[in-house]
Amino acid sequence: MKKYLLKRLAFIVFVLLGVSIITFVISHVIPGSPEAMWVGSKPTQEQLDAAIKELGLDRPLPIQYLNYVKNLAMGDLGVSLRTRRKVSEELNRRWAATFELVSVSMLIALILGLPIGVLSATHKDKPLDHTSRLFSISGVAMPVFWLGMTLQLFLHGGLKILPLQGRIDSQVLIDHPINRITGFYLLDSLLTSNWPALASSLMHMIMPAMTMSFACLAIVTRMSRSSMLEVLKEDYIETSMAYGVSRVSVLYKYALKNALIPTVTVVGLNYGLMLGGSFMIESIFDWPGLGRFAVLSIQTNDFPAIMGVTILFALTYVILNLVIDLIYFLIDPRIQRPGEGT
Amino acid sequence: MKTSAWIRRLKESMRYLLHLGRRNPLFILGMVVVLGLVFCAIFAPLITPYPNDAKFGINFAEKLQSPSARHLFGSDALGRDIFTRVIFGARMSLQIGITVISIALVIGIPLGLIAGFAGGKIDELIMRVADVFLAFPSILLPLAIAAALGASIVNAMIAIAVSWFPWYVRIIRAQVLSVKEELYVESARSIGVSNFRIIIRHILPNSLSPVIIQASMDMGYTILAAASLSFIGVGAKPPTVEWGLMITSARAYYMDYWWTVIFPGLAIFITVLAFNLVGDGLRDILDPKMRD
Repeated sequence: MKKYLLKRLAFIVFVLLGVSIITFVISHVIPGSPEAMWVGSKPTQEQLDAAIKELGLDRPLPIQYLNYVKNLAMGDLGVSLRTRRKVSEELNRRWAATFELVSVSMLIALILGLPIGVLSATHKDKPLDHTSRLFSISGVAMPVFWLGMTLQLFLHGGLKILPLQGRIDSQVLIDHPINRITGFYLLDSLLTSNWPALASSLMHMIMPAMTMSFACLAIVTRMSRSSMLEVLKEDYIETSMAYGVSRVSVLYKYALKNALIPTVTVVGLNYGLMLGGSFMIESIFDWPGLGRFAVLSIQTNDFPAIMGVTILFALTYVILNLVIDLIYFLIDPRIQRPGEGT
Repeated sequence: MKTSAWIRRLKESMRYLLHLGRRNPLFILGMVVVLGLVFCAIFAPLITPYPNDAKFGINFAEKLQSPSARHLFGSDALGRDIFTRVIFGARMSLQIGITVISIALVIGIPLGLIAGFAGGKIDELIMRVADVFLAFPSILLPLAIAAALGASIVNAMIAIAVSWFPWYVRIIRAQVLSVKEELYVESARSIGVSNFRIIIRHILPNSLSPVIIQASMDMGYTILAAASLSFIGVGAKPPTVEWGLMITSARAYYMDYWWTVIFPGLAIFITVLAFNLVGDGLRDILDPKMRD
């Protein structure tokens, strides 16, 4: 077990190094001159030269990379060329918005996806099953940005029941400021009984979360359907049925518990999908998170910021997958602990 | 004699198609849509009412017209017919799909074969590098590469292909690992067939079905990814006619003119869905064990 963990951790370090090399190379071939951006409009040649020195761009690339990694190890991601603030600060200010959106979406996907998958399995090849299968294929085929815009057209433009974009109504935020505890607006306003802020952030959350959860809902549904079908074929299900255990309790007490295991692993995959979706969804809904920050950075060739976001996303992704692997064999005693036996 | 044999063959394949259709109508539906897409791509100038609108046709007198008999899907801010541009967009989409998948296969298949066949250190090296590529969550890597290369549809295609080829390495390698234990490989080796010939003649053909399935699904996902890159601004640039770009171009005014985003988006959705259904159906045909 210890050996396995060490191996996985070593792999994470290796992946991070790989990711940092790739992003470093990528961000240094970006056309455009970072020094010009650093200096601002109408720079003189002296200013440019000074900026090149200041940013360390006169040193050879490998040295620049080594410096970057050295700083990275100490949590220093450099300074954003666009906002002139520390990248780590920028990320810190924004991560809560993104992770609140991702968590809510994940929750929606699981709460809706599991029962739909189970129903689909118990009604295999019936109309309900076909509908849910078509629905889950649609989920992964639909462009998220288009889904978001369509929802805006329908729920804001047509029915006028939801706000177009943003994370909270700015007037509400001025009148009822949220005390920062976790950085999650929903949670913080709930904890401090700040009802107007809770209502407003909830209303703002609905459309982006619907958009983000749609593709994942599809995956969760498909996964729980197939693993449920697998479990229902097992002997112990038939045995329990023969003993006269009620259908509902066989399904939900015995079968679902076992069908949950493979479903848990797709959560990691979903997480990657959601982080990817955050670029577009946050841009459409003007959501002040990491995704929109990344898009702005890309559009302005702000390479320290691009590298920062990329590394943060890749890091969370690999760590989350490790955690899920660990959960996987904690909840299923049949699975041999990795590193023990074969 | 020969013609009658041909007719019998034809009859048999028709019967097979019918059988497939009855068992998996969604596969046939997907095929029909894909063939329709190919048709649109080839005959776009002939079947669209305003072929010039796919180039530089700017006509402010016709701008932002709602859907009507004149403009089936309405017109955009430059007065161009959206129906025409959606049909022409099929060309770009097929080009994107075919190019990206070809590049990914050309890189991925040899690497996967080598990793699976050679094993040991070489395998370790190839797979660990592949793992680094796969550590980026979904669209992130293509986005970063496309941004670095500069916005153009060709660069977007390269970016997607470079980010996706590791998936094919992984699939092929897994196949090779199981196929190379088969008896026919063993016997080929025992009569002195060269490694190269074993790989090309025996291992590769028997490892291809999961790749074909994956590739047909990825055709759709590639189109989706390219549209996403265009949407973010690191993909297609005007005057390229691409569905994702059509949606981005309408971002300033779509809340008042719904047709400017709905139809190009529907085109992406239906195309990706169709390739998905085809891939799903192919899995049924090529790999019956994988059903459900």
